Amino acid sequence: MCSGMTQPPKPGGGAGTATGPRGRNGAVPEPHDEIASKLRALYAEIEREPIPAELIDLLERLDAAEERERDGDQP
Amino acid sequence: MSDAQPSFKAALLAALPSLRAFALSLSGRADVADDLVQETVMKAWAKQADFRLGTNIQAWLVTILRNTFYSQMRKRGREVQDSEGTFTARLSVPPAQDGVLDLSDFRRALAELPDDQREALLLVGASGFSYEEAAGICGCAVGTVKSRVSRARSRLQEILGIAGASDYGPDGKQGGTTTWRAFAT
Repeated sequence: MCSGMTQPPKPGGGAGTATGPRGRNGAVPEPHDEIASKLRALYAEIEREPIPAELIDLLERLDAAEERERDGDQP
Repeated sequence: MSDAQPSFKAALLAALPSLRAFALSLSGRADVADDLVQETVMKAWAKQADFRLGTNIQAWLVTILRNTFYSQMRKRGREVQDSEGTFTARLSVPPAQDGVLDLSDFRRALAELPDDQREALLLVGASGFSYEEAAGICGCAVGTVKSRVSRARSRLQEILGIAGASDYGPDGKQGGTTTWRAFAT
């Protein structure tokens, strides 16, 4: 996060400041990063899919089994 | 006691989409991913007493899942790829005609990465964990995660033939750290 902008860089401080707030000294900060956006697109695509029915089913069965156990072995 | 249980179930449900995304992207196979998520759910359910609500369930689940993944691979006799020692052949995906990188090309390229690098990249770049969280999940040092992410990125750029967004050194300079941290929050 960009919290380190409160102090201006010390003139005599040399190149390596502590956390290196994005320098304006030539280094492009973070332009369009194709890999990052692809990664997020990949996740977004999968996350949009509905959760498979078997998975929901599994959770329901686990839940039901636990409840039965709690209630003392009623069929 | 019994009222903690529906909320655990709800928390689990809410975490599933992202967990599935991680499983699918890590394993690269829908059937393997489905099994992994199911097994993770069962293990998590059995161990729910270990989980304290309010802590990061996503990190907990991802840890269970990736441990399951690696132990399954070992059982199948597949050597867990270790980028420290392995240099596998590189696949070159021809760039798409219009220069737009197709998602399926990207998926294929991701699958070419050594497992540990792919895992680190996914955790930090897609799942949204900090380097510290990712290190906890993988059981390795923060610096190791950083170098895996950095190498995964260079490798992907190489495979996909895309230029780096900015030219960090291979050792992951501060610029790179800033970039990934930005995505992790």
